[in-house]
Amino acid sequence: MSRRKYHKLDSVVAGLQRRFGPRAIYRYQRPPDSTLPPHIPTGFPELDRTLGIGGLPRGRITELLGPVTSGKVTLAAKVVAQAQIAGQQAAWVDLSGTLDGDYLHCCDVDLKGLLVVRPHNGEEALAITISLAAGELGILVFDEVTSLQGQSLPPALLQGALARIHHRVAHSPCVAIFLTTTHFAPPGEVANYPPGFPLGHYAALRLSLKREKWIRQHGDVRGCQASVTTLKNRLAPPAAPARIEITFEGTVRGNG
Amino acid sequence: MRILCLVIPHFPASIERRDEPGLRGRLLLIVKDGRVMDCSPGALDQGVRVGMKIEGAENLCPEALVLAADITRYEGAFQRVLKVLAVVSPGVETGSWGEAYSDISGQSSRFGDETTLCREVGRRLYQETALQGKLGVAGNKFTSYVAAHITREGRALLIPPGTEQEFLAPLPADLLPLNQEMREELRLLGIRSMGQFAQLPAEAVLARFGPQGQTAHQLAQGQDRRPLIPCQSPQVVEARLEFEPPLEMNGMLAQAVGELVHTCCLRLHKRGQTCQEVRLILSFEDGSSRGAQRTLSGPTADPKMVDAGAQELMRSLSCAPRVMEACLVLGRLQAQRGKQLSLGMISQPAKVDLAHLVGPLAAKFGADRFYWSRVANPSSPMAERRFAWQRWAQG
Repeated sequence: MSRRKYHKLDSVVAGLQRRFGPRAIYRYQRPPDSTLPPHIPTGFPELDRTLGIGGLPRGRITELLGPVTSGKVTLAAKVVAQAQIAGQQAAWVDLSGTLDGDYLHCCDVDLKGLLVVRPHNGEEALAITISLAAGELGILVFDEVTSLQGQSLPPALLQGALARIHHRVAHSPCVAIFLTTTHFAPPGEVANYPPGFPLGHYAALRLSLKREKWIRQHGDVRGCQASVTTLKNRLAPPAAPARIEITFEGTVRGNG
Repeated sequence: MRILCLVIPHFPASIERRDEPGLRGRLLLIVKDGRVMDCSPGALDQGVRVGMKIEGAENLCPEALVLAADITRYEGAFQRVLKVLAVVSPGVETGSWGEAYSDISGQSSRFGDETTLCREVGRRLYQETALQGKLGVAGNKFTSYVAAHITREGRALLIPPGTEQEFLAPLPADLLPLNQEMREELRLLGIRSMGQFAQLPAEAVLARFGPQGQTAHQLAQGQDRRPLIPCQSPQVVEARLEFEPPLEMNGMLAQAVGELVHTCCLRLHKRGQTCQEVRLILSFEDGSSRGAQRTLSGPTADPKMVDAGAQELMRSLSCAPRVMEACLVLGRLQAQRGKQLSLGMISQPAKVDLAHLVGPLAAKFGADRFYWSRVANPSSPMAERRFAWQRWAQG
């Protein structure tokens, strides 16, 4: 574009900003390649490499999908622990009511620094999540989306709530993690979203977890190995699935 | 209106000589950023000028002692000088280093007359700061400045009202605030004194010398319409920590400085202000104190940036014994500016107080929604007994 056209465009943009405010229109400036987007590491080096930016992105929604015992809660707990190590505050919206404090403790989560919200219904859970997303939290976990199913929430309310969460998280340094349980239905896994809940659209990162095999020691089951496949990543190119190992004593290690 | 002018010539050099009696009688060069900031009168006689490079100054005056400027100390001393003047009248205007004006209209009755007032100022000045100044009293700022300038140290010169022009007339025109080119022009025109300059027609002065010459012409006639603008003490945010027992210069001190930074930045946030200057003053076990200051790259209230500056200052002061007290002062405060939100870069979150966050939510949704858990019985075979829920308020 010629210099003259640039000047003309500049004056048009300036006029629009004067009229509608500076946030009405602005140029997206790509950050230098040397600086990665702000993120929180997952605690699994191989997974961090796969994600391309070194962890889960701040200011974005991340969705963890998978069937039961695939490692969703463990992965979320490890990210919470990493955030707490960095001195940030964390909150866990336990809509499913299945949170195990002892297991979080085994995953190195500082329980005293973790706010656990136990809402009475899905509508309340979404309202509290919206409020928490506006705070200066380092990480917010919504456990879990599947529990919204069957609560007869109007689709407009769900969509509006998700849009508001997305907007507020985008203006905060918070990593928002939504856990979604999938069930097997031929020909593959299906997520139990309530109607009108376009989480897949709003999430910048979607990770599918799948248990691959049990880890046995002296004949006993000591843990499991799971693969993490990136279904969607707006911040980095797609990469091969990563493997993580989870042991039930609470020692969790990456296979990197 | 009666204006009192106090002049302490070569103020930085006077402070150095006051604090170090061994320097009396020696030629001094006070240097800042590689240039002469001030010098003793003897060095001036040898051709040294303020603002010249130190190499040139040393060539002109090789026997002079070169000292690094300690702005913090000079500022502290000057503030004490201003406090002395503020006793006489609250309206005090500052000029350059060691130069201040005070409006003493109606104040002389408190002290008897102007002579007594000047004597009292001189006495208090010496008592409080161990410095001697030159005092001038006249009906306007310029005349009072000239009066203070030509009198001797420790003396006062009072110009009766209405006699300003007569007083100024025999004095050299070089005292007028003119640039070098205009002074040269006056010299070529044969105008040596302010009286000669004052007699020139105002239109001719304006035509030849412009507005600056016109102002100087009015000053030479004893007319100075500039009002006295009382200075406001600069807004600062200050925090200090005393150490008992004294701290070594190590990580503990760095941590203490970090605490001071955190406290000051919190105050800045509450006021909605930013700072652009960091000053750290350390008081040592032997009774001495040292200070250093640093100008930040831009106005900020970010604790990280302020802390980086403060830690650097601390390292620059690290050649001394144990520290009794640390004082951090953030200066050049200004209001925070609004920032345009960016899509790309998101700052690291500040550590928030969860109780502060939960309070309004608990009031809205009920306190029985917010919990924290603790490990209750880790050896229990039943998972639900290994931890216990507690309401957040109980935490």
